[in-house]
Amino acid sequence: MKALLICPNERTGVAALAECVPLANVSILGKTLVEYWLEHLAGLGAQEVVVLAADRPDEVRAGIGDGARWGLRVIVKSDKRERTLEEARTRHQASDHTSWLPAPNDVTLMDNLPGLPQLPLFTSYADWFAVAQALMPHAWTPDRIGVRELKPGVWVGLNAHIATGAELIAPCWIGERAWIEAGATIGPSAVLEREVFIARGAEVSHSIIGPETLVGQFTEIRNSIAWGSTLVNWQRDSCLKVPDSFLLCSREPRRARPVPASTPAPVQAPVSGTASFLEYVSQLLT
Amino acid sequence: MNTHILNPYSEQFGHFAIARSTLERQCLTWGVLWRRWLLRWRVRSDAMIKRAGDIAGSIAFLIFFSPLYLVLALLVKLEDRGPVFFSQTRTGRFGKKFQMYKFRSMRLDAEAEFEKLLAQNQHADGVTFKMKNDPRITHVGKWLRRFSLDELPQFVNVLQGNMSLVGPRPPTPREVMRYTLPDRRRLAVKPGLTCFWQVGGRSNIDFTGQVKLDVQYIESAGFWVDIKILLRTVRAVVVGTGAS
Repeated sequence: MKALLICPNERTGVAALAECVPLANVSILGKTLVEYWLEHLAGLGAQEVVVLAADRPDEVRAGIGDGARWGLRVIVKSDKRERTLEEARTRHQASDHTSWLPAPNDVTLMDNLPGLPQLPLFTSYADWFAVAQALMPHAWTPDRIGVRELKPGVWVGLNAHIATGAELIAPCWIGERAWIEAGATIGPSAVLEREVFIARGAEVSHSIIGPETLVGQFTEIRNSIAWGSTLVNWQRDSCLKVPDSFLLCSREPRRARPVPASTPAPVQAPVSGTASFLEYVSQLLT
Repeated sequence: MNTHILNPYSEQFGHFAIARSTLERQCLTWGVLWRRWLLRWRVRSDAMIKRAGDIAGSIAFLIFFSPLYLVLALLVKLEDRGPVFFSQTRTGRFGKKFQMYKFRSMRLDAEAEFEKLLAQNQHADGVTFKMKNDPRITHVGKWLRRFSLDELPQFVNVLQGNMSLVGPRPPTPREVMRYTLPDRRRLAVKPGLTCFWQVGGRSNIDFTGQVKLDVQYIESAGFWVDIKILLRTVRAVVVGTGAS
């Protein structure tokens, strides 16, 4: 049985999410969007899946491999632009007479998560946040390794390190190998992806912290999506780059891709003399 | 990194980290670098230590026991003049296939006879295959299996990087085809020579029990757990429990 997945190419509503990785590879509660879909299709009995990627197909391919992880054969094809369902059906399905999955699942545009069709992912940052919140109670599936529910509504991933003085307020999700220092407050409605570092005294509430992000001492993040040094307020749709790496930064700063020219430039935070000096020093040192 | 001072206006503004001199600013910046280094080390150290241990352990074992390898190879060769080693396709990490080496313990026509014997499978769930008094096993093979000596060439697999010293046993592709999604969790780490269930009941555990133990291993994995399993494996091999 065969199936086709179409990766979302450009979504102006959530341009900052696509900054570092293509949208199909953005992690949400520890798994990427394309991983959720491949798992879903494998559960439906698919054996071969074709993924059409217009945005950075090499990275999508690197994230999936050959699909042996799910017992699938996955082929990632690069495409000039994002195809609609009809286009994809005529181009790829009509000429291919092998058996395909029955109708709604044969060709899928990955604009939502499997099982949550009523919640669009990429229309705005608020929607992205809403999906993460809706997914949290259902994300602890039996195929996850090492997720524990510390207390009702607090899920912690494998090898996470939580200091005894840290406060966890339900609901919150703490990803694999996250590190939370004493005195930090996580939650309510906080999602920390894998390998997040929360320094002491920091507070995270109603927010998503992207993978490999360091949140500095006494930094308070509310109603935001933070990833690397990018900070997005999902309530007001405003986006800024935090220039001070002791407030918010990425673990691997050099890997972050510069913002493509097509997306509007992020608003620069007002920079004081001290901060710009520190940025200069940190650039010298890293 | 004790450079932060609580702000006197904390009631109003919350807490801040304040740097009041060049030195304190430097300390804040170095603090970020230290945290980055800590995270990087945390992410990579486990895999690095395990791989280093695998390489060192397998090289040491191969050199130290090379006379034993020669004797065993000679015995297998002398019995029926067939090949010494037997390689089989197994499934590694994330479903990647590789060739696993063993000393040959079955007759040359063993694979052909396999389909006939499937009906006599002892494992009721049908995912794995095991039977007592398999007629395909040679006399030398019986003794090799009794003391798990047929597994010794797998140290070469460890050196190649397909396997690790400690980890879930690598399943055959035929078994993996029947795996459910939760069963696939045991493919999340490199397969190994020994794991919890070899140390415990060995072949006498059913498939769901195996998966449960494998996942338990993946969740608890660490340097000392590996050492403990290796030591208990040595004991189990010497005593020879459960392999028959």
